[in-house]
Amino acid sequence: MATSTAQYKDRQFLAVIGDEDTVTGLLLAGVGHVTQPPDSQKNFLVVDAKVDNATIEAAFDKFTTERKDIAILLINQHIAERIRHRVETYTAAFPSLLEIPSKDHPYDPEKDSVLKRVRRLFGE
Amino acid sequence: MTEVQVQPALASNASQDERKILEDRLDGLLEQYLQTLDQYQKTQKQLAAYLSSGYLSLAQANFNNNSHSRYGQDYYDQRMQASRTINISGDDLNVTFKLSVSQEQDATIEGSGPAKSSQEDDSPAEEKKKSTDPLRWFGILIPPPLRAAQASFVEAAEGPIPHLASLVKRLRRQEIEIGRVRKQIKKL
Repeated sequence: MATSTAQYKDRQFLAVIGDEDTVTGLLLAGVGHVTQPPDSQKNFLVVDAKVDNATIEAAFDKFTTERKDIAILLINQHIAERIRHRVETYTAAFPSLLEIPSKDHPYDPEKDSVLKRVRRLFGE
Repeated sequence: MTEVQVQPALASNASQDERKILEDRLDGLLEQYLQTLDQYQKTQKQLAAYLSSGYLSLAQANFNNNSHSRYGQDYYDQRMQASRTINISGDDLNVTFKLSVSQEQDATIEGSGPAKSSQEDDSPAEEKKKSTDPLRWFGILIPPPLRAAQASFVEAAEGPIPHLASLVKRLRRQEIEIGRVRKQIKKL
């Protein structure tokens, strides 16, 4: 039990990979954080037309593997689709990964990795 | 010869009992799992509702906005500090995520400062407090739809988001338990 507490005691931030409106909204809620310079690491990535899949993957790796201060990673489902293999093979205990809807892409349970696991469990 | 035949019969009786116990346990686990799943889906719906009203308000704010291009990343404060963070508690078996709102750190820093004349007492603290609100990135006059958008996203961050994170953890744990019991049944 002690080890598991140590695993997450420094995890406190919500990170976001999303389109501009999703990130703007969540930052309005006060979850945005930039670490002290010179690092100045952001806990969000705005995915606009200029952002390619490699950048999304890099941000995903940074938030899930490199940084130890992220508690929950939120990712727009349509963006998760672009790096689906990464999302589906992600099994670490922390951070918790959640797929959320965006303005133009409502939540689709068929695509949600959590529900895909459910279907596998019931042998579909 | 007869004795030899009795032995396996007894053994298979015992294993049948064991099987029954394990199968009942599996049924119980599956039932719990389906309940957690139901909660997960309901909470996803709740999240979708908060987010879509947030997106709608943000769109309205942008539609009515003549002065800037749009309420977006060009205006983010590059030194922002999170005022809402996540608190994780519990152990391996039951991890809970909760949102916590930080005290106005800046205000307390101001308050503990040496100069405390009666005029200075509240005005600088108030200014600081205002400056930490992300709404201020977008100027001094805050249109009501932008304020409404903030309220919806705050609701999403306070309620369904940490709740979903806890539920995902619970589903994971239940999946592992189900897998374990199924394996034990297979072995019999």
